[in-house]
Amino acid sequence: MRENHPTETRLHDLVDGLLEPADREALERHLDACAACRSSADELRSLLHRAQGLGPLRPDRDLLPGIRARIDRRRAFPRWLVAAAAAAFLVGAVWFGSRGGVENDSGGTPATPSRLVEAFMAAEVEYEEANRALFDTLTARRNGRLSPETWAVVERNVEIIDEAIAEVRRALRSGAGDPADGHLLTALHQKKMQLLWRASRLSAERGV
Amino acid sequence: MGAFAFAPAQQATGTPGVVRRAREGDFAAFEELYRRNVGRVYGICLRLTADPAVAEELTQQAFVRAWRKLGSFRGDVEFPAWLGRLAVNVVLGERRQRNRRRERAFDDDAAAAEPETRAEPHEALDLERAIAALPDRARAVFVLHDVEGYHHEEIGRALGIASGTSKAQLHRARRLLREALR
Repeated sequence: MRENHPTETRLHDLVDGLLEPADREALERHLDACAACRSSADELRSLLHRAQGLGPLRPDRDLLPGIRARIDRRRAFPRWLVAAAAAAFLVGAVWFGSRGGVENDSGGTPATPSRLVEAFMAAEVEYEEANRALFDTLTARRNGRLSPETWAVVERNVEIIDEAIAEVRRALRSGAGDPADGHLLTALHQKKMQLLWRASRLSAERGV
Repeated sequence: MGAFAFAPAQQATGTPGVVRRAREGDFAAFEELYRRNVGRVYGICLRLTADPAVAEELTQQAFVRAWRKLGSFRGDVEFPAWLGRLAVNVVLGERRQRNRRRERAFDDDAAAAEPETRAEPHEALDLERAIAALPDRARAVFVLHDVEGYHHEEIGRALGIASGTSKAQLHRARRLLREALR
């Protein structure tokens, strides 16, 4: 009877209800006679049952304040302004970092790489959110407004920029980076924003 | 509270009146929807990402997006189901953005080259922890299919893979889970 044992795929199809009636009946006859296969099928059914019964999970903290803050920010400012603010914030952080940040009583300290990296990283959060908002907008309204070829170009360029951002970020976080890497990071974020901005404008113009 | 702390049993969620008020801009009503549904949304985000910090961030994004899109909610599905779909889209959208190149490489061959599992082979794991230990693609397919009830065609479209690949990944996930839970 060994040659008649069902494949694993057929057992999955059985528990998922994907078998034709005749096939299912034949397999169930086999399960009646084969304890090993029956055990496998029971184990699969049990797993499926447990998965379907998984309940909600509670986050460690109340997320509502953060949600409210984001909603309020979006209510107060149009997206282009949020994006522009993020850009300004990042440029400001770079300038601040390159001047050494907060000066001490002894007459000022040069920027340390770690301080500068922190400034870049903090600013990045805002920049990423703004770029994500632009990307979301673009994605939501691209249908019929941007040709597949144009969209592919946008995606490919975003991908290239993201790769470059990831590399610079790795260098900064590893401690191997220097302030020049931070400036490069800024330039990459700006390039991404310009790309998304242009695509968004193009999309909006075509939608009028 | 651990990442897998279970939320209290949910009451009936998304009653039309609360949703209607939230659609009209009543944040108190939206807060009520949040309280009732945050466990479901966070559960989706955590199971798909296996990272509590990322799941918290994506949960917030999902609710912000829900607020923006409430106007498009027509009530032809239950609100929790609509919100759950939206949360899945948020997670998968983020995933695509961050791992675009890697996502594209996820065809059958690449998937086969993934490590079998990150779980300790003889460690007793509950189902949540075992799911979290699955390889990314297998975990995503398992959560979407067996927990959230998506079909392979839908999963294929969402993840940018063939439905046959989705099925293969599901079987792989179940096999790994059975091994981990024995």
